[in-house]
Amino acid sequence: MDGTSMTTVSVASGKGGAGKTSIAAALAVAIAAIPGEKCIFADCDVDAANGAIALDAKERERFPYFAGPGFSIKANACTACGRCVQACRFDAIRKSADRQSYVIVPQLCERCGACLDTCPKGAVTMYEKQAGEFYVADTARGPTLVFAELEPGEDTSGKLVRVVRDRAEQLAGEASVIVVDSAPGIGCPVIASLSGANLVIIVVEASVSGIKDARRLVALVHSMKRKAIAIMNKTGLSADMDSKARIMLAEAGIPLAGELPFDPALRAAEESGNTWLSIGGEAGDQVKATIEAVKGVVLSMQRKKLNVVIPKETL
Amino acid sequence: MKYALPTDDGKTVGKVFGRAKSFALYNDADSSYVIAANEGANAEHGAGTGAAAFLTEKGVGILIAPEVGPKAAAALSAAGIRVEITEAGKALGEAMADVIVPSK
Amino acid sequence: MSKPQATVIAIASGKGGTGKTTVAAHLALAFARSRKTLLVDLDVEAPDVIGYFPAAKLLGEAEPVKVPIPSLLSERCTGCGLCAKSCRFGAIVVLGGVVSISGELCKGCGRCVSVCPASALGEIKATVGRTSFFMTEGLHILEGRMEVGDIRSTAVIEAAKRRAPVCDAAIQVRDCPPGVSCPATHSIEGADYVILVAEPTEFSLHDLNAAIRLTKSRCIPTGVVINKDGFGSVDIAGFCAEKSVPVIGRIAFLRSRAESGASAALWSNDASFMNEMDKIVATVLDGVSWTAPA
Repeated sequence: MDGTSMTTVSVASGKGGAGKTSIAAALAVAIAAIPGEKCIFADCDVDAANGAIALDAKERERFPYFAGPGFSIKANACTACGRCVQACRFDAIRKSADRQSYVIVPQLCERCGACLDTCPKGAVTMYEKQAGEFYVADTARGPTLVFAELEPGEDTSGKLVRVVRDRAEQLAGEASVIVVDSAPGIGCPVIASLSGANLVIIVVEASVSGIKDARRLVALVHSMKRKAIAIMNKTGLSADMDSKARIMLAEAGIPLAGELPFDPALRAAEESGNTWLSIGGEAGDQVKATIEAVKGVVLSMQRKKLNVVIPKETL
Repeated sequence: MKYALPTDDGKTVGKVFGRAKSFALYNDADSSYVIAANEGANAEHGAGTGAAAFLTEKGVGILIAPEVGPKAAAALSAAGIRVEITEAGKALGEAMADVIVPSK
Repeated sequence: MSKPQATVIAIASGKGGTGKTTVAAHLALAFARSRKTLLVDLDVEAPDVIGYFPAAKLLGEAEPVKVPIPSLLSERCTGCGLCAKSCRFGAIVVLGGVVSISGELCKGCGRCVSVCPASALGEIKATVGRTSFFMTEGLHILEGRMEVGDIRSTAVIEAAKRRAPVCDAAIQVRDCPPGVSCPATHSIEGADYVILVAEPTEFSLHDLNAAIRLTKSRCIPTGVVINKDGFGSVDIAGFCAEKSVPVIGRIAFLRSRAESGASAALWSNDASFMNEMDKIVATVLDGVSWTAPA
């Protein structure tokens, strides 16, 4: 009985390369194609922001993203006493090229500030470090896209995921569906990707590492009390792995929406800038059937929400 | 008893806890009610633990929210703040009425 | 910081799922034919190397990786809150005048301990993971494994890097985490050469670009191995030429390889595959391809 009209679907997978982005893109395109529906794709897999490719992104608006302050050493104030090197627990400070002072390596710096505390000359300064950029794009495939790119060494954080999702929510307005391409793994960025989602789609790659990583994701989804369904991907390579994946999901009580076979045709579709919905053959049929099933779940959730009369406030 | 609810629009329960834009704070001892901005919403890390600290500062005893992430849950537990689950989008008054035992 | 004796080859990839661990494992086997080789698993959040060697034997005991986290001496604490203000990670907060420490969020930077005016914070060690040596078919393996749910991968990666020289290998092959964020950066740091594993897809091309930017920014000589060649038609080689990064290996896509790869089977009997590994070994060792990306 969630009175908000927006429906958020987060697509997640413990492991990279499981097909999460491709599946999320196909779902977003299928929803955007429904007359009257609006779909926003929030690409929170920032370390590999492939949503723009999957959806064939067009116009871009870009905004700088500031994670938090960076730290740097003013060369002319530095006496090379080395106290910052002692204080830095991340081995991020090196001698400068001319050996006269120290420099902080931004790709290794954890931005904790311990160096600033210990410098006797005040040579360490904080600066507003741009950690990356986020973009809003229209796409040839239909959905509006929000995504980000980070400077090397910068980490996806809960904050960045929230920034991307906030922008998506602003664009979504009334009665839209937001498809979130979650960060991989199970850390803070994933927590932020699943937070507040009405439905989580767990993509399970039918392999040893795929199943292992999906298991950990299932535990997180349960602890966050999110509704979840699963899609198996790359089936048909190993009957043993396919069976183990099914068993894992059944034991966890996660309904299976479909099984997508391993097929090079899926890759070929991406190369020509199309989503997985565009291919034929057995794989194409499975994709369409699975996406239809998931779409059905999302739309019925959305319909239930829109029918709720928001009660008057009692305060 | 002081209650808190995450809210982004000031009228309905928000979807997230740690990065909620603000908190509705209600004190049933004097029926006072305020919406306080969540300063930690923009923190790069530790928004959940920061929000728990914020609520403790305000003397909140019960948090009414749709969910809390695992790290936030640990901080709330350490702070002795009880969590009651509600649904996002509910009117704040209704969400509170579900939880508050009529007093006196 | 003395340079390690071993020649360190880091196997990385912008994108997950391109076959980095597969290449790392088999490349290490190829090196091991002629030199003492250590295969180091630095993908500490999800270490998959050992899955290729189910018969590997643990040598000695796993060594815990510990990170200092603050511990409160409450009788000295005045509740001033300076510790909480100094923490950039939200790991130490003051709840009603009482200090509360979230060990999991703490990165072990030590800042709160040094700013406390009352010397009320000491440090205790929290275990965030472990490193383990294994031995199999003439190959040494060192695995870094982070505790499930923890995020302090840097500490485990650095611990594994520090422990590696104990093996006294001539060659160290590092399986790095995917991506170009913090853990990947720390994994390639200190390597003599980075091999980026790409597959001929649009996604991989996009991420390869980011990975080359990273190795360039750290001035580490780089080469690219195209895995699953023929699986897609994206021109990775053309892109590498544009970036002046040599392609040092191509592994053809074969359905049979995809099938056995799903169960992490070892391909030491796949002659054409191991042949390609040997060619990569030769290229890496002769130093000709050792140029940092322009």
